[in-house]
Amino acid sequence: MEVKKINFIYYVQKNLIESVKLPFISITLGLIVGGIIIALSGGDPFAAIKGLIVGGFGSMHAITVTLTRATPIIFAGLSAALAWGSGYSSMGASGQMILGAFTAAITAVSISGPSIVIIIVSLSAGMLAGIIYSLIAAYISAKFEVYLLIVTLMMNYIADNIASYLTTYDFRDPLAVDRLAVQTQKIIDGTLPRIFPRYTLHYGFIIAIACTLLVLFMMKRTSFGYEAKMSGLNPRFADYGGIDSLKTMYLVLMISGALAGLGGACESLGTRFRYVDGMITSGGYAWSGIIASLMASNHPVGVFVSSVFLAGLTTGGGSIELRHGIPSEISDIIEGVLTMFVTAKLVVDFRFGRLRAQKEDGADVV
Amino acid sequence: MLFSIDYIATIINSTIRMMSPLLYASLAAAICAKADIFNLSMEGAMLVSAFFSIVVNYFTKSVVLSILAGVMASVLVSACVGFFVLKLKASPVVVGLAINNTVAGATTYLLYIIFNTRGVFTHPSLVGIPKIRLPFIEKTAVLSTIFSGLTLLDYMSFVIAILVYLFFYKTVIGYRIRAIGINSEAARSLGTPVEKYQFLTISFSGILCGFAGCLLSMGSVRLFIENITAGRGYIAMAANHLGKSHPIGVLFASLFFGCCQALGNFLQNTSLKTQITSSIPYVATILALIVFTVQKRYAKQKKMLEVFNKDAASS
Repeated sequence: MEVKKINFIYYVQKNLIESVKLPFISITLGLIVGGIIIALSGGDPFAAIKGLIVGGFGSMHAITVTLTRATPIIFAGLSAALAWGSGYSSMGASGQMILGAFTAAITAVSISGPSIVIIIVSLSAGMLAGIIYSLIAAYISAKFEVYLLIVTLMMNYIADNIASYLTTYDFRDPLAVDRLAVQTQKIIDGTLPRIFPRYTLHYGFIIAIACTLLVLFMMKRTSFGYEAKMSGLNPRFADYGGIDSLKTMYLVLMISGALAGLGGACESLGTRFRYVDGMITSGGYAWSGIIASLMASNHPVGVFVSSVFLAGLTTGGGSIELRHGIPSEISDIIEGVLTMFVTAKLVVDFRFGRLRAQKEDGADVV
Repeated sequence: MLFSIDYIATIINSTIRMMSPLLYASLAAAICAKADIFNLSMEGAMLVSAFFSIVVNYFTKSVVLSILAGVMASVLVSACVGFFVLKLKASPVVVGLAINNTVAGATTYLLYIIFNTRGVFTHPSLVGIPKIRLPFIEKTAVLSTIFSGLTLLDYMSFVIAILVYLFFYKTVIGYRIRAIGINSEAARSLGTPVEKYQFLTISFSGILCGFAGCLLSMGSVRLFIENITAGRGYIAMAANHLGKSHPIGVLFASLFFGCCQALGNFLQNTSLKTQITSSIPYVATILALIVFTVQKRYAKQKKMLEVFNKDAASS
């Protein structure tokens, strides 16, 4: 009994160290590259990186701003984790979020009733939009053997244009003070309430936590999660094992679209209270979500943690732009560099693992 | 009036101008596909080239130096992708997307650091790539419209497409690179230095993307806009797919996409809304890929039927 317990602790610790070590290394490398770029462009790298961290996590205000920004990233990250973890490289989160945000915003202003009903109906409408858009991409990709990556990327541009068109010509806010503002009417009843009255953090964040747990349960404890994972690891083996890969693909991409659509809906009901043209693309939520999912090797809880980290990086970037005069895009650069090192990790890991195994076996190292 | 001969000539002219950067990028995608590298980074390579060519142009006023700077920056980015994908064995999809995003962030960052502006940078002192005037064509009005405002780089794109074709199908090294694409292990067993060839191929694709970037920022216009490439790198991947990675096939595929972009630009002057016209290239890409598969399936089915009929007739 004692032995088993120790083994279990050893196992957990080893797994924890393994899973934290590599993101940590890539974050450090990302920050180093970012520091070098800041130094080259004439700034003080240490002050800037300190400012980046303090600006992202240093105060109650900073933390709530970070968590508010993290909310859509978590949804996009979960959506990507599910799709990429099952072997479908969908980049469609951006388009699905745009349509989710737009649909939720116009649903919330066009129905009336108690606010809880409006919230539920609008969030479901946003989710449905995400599902439909994701299924269109899945259908084109499956039926016509086109790379899902290309289809979803092209459909993101199209979704942005659809939402922009409808906002400009059919649902434009008639009360807007600024005549040039391309936005829908403000949602009065049916906005997601704030968790703390003084800060921007809203209940969308709680929904994000719930979704994280739900996806965790689905991936680890249901047969659907097992089938999805198997078809990601080895599609032929999955087929051989009797998994209907087409059905799995549609289901995976449907849930992935639902998560992205819900993320967009929470953003428009919780943060902006309307759909503003370009609000999803300019935030870069979908891309950050995909990075978060890569950093965490598609593990839902890891996605949650990395999303908060990446959101903090951006919030901090905004703060050093104000204080140190360094453009906030430095956080994009750090994000990108970090991502490249994150995937380089897989093989380093694999090589070390193989070397170790061969040493233990006493075999020659090839 | 709408379909007067002049109007069509202007559309053809615009198509050629839209097409040549796409052609460079699609050729880059095609040669990488031939060498069994999944390269997604054309977008980033073009963007970095467009940016640095404008920077060098502003400070030196020399077109040659700007093109050189753009091409060098693009080659560096592509070599970086090559290093991560080939040496560190990182996922090509992720590295490509990450490079594109890093470059988008970095160019915006540097735009602010160097010129202290955001969004668009343009300056009256910027020099465009000189236009080539063909004296024997200028006598005919239509031909002079079709070929007006084209630069050396525009004409070169067609020449390079043919040169790439000759290189891949008529030389030994090209043959070896194609062999890597067909079966890299077999090529390795014959003593081909696979990684070296792949690295050189991806670096060369950087040169092509460099030309494309220079054309975008110094061809018909002289400015740099954030994200000036607007998904052209991804459309180039689709063009590569449609052209079956064959240089001449890719030439026609990028002609098609160039035509779609030119039409999108032209229809902006009509009553159609901007959002609809700017969706045209993306919708066309998806439709073209669908039609491509349907046509391929139909051809396959027809061939099967022919074989079946022949068997039935002979037996």
